[in-house]
Amino acid sequence: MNYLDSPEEQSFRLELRAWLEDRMSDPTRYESDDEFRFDHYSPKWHKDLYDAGWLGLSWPECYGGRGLSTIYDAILNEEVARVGAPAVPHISFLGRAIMTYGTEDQKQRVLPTLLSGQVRWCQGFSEPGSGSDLASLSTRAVRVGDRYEITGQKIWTGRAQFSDRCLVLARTNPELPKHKGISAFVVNLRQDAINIQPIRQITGSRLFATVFYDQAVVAVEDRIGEEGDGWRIAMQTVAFERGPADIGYISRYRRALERIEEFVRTGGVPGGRGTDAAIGRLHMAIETLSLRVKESLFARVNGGMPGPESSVDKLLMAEVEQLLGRAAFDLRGPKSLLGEDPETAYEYLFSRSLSIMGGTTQIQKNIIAGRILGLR
Amino acid sequence: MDLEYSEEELLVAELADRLAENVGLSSSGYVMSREAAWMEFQHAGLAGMRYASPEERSSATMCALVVQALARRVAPLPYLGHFLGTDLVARAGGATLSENRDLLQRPMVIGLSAGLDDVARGGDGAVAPDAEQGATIIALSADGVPQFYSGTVVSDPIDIGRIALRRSGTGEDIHGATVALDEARLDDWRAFSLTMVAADLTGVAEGAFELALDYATQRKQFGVVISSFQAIQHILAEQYVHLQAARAATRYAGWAAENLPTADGLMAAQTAKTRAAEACRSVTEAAIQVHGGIGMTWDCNAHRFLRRGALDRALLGSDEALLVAIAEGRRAMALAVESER
Repeated sequence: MNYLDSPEEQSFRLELRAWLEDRMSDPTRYESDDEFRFDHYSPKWHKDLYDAGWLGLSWPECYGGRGLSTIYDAILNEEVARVGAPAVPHISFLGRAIMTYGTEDQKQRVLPTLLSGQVRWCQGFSEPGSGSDLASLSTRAVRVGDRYEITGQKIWTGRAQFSDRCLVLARTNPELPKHKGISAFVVNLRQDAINIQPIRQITGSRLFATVFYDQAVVAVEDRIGEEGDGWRIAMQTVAFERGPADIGYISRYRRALERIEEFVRTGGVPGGRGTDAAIGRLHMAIETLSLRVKESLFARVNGGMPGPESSVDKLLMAEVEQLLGRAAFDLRGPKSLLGEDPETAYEYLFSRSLSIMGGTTQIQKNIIAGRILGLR
Repeated sequence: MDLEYSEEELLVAELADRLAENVGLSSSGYVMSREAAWMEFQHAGLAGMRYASPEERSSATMCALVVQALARRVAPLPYLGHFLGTDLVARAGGATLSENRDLLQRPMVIGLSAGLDDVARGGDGAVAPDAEQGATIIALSADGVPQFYSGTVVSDPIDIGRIALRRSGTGEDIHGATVALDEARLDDWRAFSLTMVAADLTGVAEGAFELALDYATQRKQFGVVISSFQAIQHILAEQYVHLQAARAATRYAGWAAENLPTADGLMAAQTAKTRAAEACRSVTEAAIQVHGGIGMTWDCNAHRFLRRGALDRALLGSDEALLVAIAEGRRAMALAVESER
């Protein structure tokens, strides 16, 4: 049993840390990007990470990666968040779907520019009528000669307004049972038949969009897998959304707790036993989540596929972020209520989405009950 | 990072599981007396796990696995008090002399302060919460040297699966255990002990969960087993999350207690114990809930888990005290990092 880095991991971590500290010596370097304000994503940052060889660490070398273990992705996410840099581009899970189901031609066309950030991607799964019940989706893909025409509406497409391509799930065969008639497509968003409308969330930001498809055109070569593979591809994409990125969340949470402690030190938050107990409780929750995520990562690295246990991670993560959001908000009192601390107010409002996005808390509990405990 | 248990650890865990099955709670109560259960524990070679030098003793990880297994079946013997007591004696050098080994025939259980929040010291009204009739109680003299004591049985303890003793009389010196334990050494003992309590809480939660799951998949109402209702499924799913969190925290604490500096090991143990206590309260209360009316009867085993968890939760610091200690520990660590710069 050993929770520490191996010598190779340790030297990778220190090399990365030195590079990051140099990049972040000017913390405002990446803040001028519009998107940074919304989502802590920065195209400049993506390029810098890519050029320095820090992306696609666990991807095969032939697609631009370094063929390393997933542990290195986790180290990357952890160190990046630790210095408060913009998030590591969340693209690996999309790449994973294409690596598993795509043809060699598709992989060569799509993966290198996905990795480099030259081509920006998003994910078109949910619909206004199909959220938790994703399999009921009704966006249609009709085969017309050597192409498909896609008509329908997607919702919660993250960063669609900044993206070039979208991995879209659409129904190719309405006659079959709902899970079996779905296919996956790489859609070029830059066509007139596609209309993108950012959605204003309760936080005020516009991270997600509604996307209208009105006979949008997709070449047959841009269908991923066979007709009917869409559900399988969707489930794998969703499964791989968890993982190394979660380690990055933990660094973010640790920074958030340190921020609260800084407030206590400077008098921005009342100290005392109650505050200390709250800080201790946050430490307990964050560190326990970290350990649980490490266990999942270890299982993954040793050949395990992400499965229903990731629902446990998701539930714990939602709990932690919501506990943090509330705690900071309550402790800051009038400052977060009267406009003096917009960051704390934002984090509290944003934290409410953790029990909803990526599969609601209620769905996660259904998954645990059904697929781990065997209850029907 | 390598989070696998070693083969040896898995073998000992299996051994402890079998022991727990033989001596622990079954659907028809306890089939073995406390004396017989203690003998089985000894014959399995588990009584001396911490009663040895640091080089020869069993690891905290291994002890945690044993504790967890026995807790799962609410085993009627003072394994927890004994591990904490023998560990303390060993830290003062008292485990190496053969004169003392005979003392292992009887449990050597830890005596805690009247508030149950730390090892008893000096004239404090010490209590051994996990003991046996005629067991030897280990507590510290006013100078911090471990001593032997005897005690009288506490009547009506909440954990009906345990015997508690109240210390009586004066302490006897222990051959070879002459080291006065300073705060640093005591912190190492606390890190170990909190981890064992975390393991006990986790095991109790696991046992309660199995009981609840079992009941829910058999009990029928409205023509179907109640486990087919989402309301029940969600209760059980939530408890499963608690179990996984408690397990992860406890596993780390066992490793940290013996592989990281004292302050880090102690904080990991405080974290594990508070997380496991939260899990255990939730799971044991939910187990009663899932049983419905039957859960409120003496004959249903659910309350036995609730009772053990309730006592464990109070050992070596309340939730609030430990959480505050974590916050203080964090400040101390941050200061140490600052002053290094």
